[in-house]
Amino acid sequence: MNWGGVTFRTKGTGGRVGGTIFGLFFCLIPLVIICVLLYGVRQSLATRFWTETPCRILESCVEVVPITVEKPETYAFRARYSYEFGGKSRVAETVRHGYEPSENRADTLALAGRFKEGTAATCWVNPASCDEAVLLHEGLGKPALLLLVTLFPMLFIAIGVFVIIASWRADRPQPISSKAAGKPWVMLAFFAIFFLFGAGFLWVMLAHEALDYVRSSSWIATPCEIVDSRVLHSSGKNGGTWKVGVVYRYEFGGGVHCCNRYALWSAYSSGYDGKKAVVDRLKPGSKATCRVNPSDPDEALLVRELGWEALIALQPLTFAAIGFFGMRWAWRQMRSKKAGKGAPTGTGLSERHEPTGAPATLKPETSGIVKVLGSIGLAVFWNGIVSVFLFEVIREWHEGHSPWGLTLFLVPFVVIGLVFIGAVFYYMMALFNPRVHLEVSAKEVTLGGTVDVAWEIIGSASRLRRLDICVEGREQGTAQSGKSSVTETSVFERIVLASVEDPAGAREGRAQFVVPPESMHTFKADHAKIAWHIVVKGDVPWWPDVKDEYELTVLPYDPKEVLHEHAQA
Amino acid sequence: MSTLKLETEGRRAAFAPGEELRGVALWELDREPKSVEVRCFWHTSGSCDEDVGEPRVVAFDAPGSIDRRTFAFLLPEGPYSLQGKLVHISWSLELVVNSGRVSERLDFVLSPTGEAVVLSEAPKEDA
Repeated sequence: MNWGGVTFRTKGTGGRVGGTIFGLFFCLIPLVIICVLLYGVRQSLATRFWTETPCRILESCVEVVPITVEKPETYAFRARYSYEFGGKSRVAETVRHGYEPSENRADTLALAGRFKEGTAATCWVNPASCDEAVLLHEGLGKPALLLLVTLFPMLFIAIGVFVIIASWRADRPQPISSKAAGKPWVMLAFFAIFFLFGAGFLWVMLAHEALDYVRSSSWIATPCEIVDSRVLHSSGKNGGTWKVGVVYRYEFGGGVHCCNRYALWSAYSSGYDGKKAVVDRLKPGSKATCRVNPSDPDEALLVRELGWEALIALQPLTFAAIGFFGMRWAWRQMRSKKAGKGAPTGTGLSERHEPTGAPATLKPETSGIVKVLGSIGLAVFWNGIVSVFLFEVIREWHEGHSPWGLTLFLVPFVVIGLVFIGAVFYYMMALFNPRVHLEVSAKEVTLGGTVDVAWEIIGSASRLRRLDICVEGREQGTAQSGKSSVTETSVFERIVLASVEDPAGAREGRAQFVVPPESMHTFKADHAKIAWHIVVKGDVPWWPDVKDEYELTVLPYDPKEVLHEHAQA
Repeated sequence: MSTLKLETEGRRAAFAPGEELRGVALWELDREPKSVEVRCFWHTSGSCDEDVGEPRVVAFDAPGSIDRRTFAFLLPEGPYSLQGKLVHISWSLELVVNSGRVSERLDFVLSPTGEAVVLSEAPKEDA
């Protein structure tokens, strides 16, 4: 295809069919999920489209379902009502679709008060099935939530549709300049989803307990008697999980109350023995002390501590944190793009930046502490994940199985984990190295400019066998290669400032260098970099060597001077 | 059939930082375009994925299907055009019609010397 003198490539049939199948596959599962969700929405809203009909309440009552170690006391509103529909008198008992007994006694009693026996009321009748009727509609919260959830599969459908469209569209070469407009808002949306899911789960898992922890600080310690106790079991793949189940009775405000809440955090978790010990202590008939909510004496708990199990609820915090910092990064990217619009300079300087001529003490690009903390973080992260599988393998060997496949598969991962642990010790040892204090006449210098450098060895210089200080100009390119990115570095300039054979005898020194005038200034883009460094290398026998780098900024010539020289020439 | 053309004043191919780049854009299109603009920007190539600097743009008002317009850009201090071992930096003008449906490009050199900076690998430390 030819368009404006530009030849467009078109994809082959194989590519188009492959892309379409891939796109359809991407759309299919989310589409099914959306259908299920929309069906749920329709079901929740269905009664709102039924026929409003007068009715009479024949019977109504509140049933109390007694407390057990597994379930709290609940209250169920029951009603029978009659109505005329299709020329016939009919009787129904449905209060609301999906109605479940509630722990909230006040709300249930309010319902009973609203639909008193013998009173006239309104019900909604299904015109397609006249015997089906309800007294109340379902709330709008559920359908709203379901509609909100449909946004997530829609994201995948959008990707699938994009893939299909892209596979059928001709490959029209875009202007290079159009690639400058990055899409940080896509990243912003991506991290926002991460944040919302993390924060949502964090709220669901932790907020209730955290709020109760604060609320219960003012609850009143009250003697109670244990009515029932047992270890509750939830079956699972690895033998299941357990929690303490208990019912206790106490007197408060002139009445007798029962409660089955043991602690703030009441999820099932591993560790049977701990729960069994608690249950053994809380034998039926034994005395204990619970904390009672004075404003609602039916609410109480035996143990107010959150417990270490509550830490599990912090897992979503990782997602929320990644989302938060990712959003912050994307937001900054968007702002910097906006600020830099119309400034076609890649030095990071949209206007002429004059070099600061002030002397400065240089700090290493990565301090020893940062290296230690970074290596600890990496070692903990890697080994934390590997240990989950490692413990599983050890357990299987312990139980007499021979999981050779998984064991051999894990070996390289364990070796890498050990290397990471070794790196922690390496960087910790390097913290005790002598340090080199560097001072320069200017941290920023124009091409062709002169820089004075003064150095001093801090700490035990006698441990150094040799010290080399040089200036390096490096170009660095990062390219995507398959699923990973490869960064190559090439040194284009190396200026030796000092080579000291006996550092103990020359603890300090000075040097001067000129930035080559026909070289390249500092340049930083996403995948390409031109950088200038002062590199300090110290040879320490039988110990990690000293290797620190200090960045210098080399600026382009002042355009005014360049133009002046051109005019003179 | 569409024809697009970009020319710098005096057909110059090299400019100094801070200099004004003047030129002319000509086009002949089958129908009247919605938008026509000239963009001035740097971009990288070589052993790295392509980066493109935020372009400076001159947009033309009410462009005709056959038209000729002049433009001017005040060039910045950098980055200089570069021929490195790994990284190449080039400067370009692009004539873009209808947000990129049709385009034409013209490369130029930005440097104080009129030639791209050439970087070669320094001798190894041990050498």
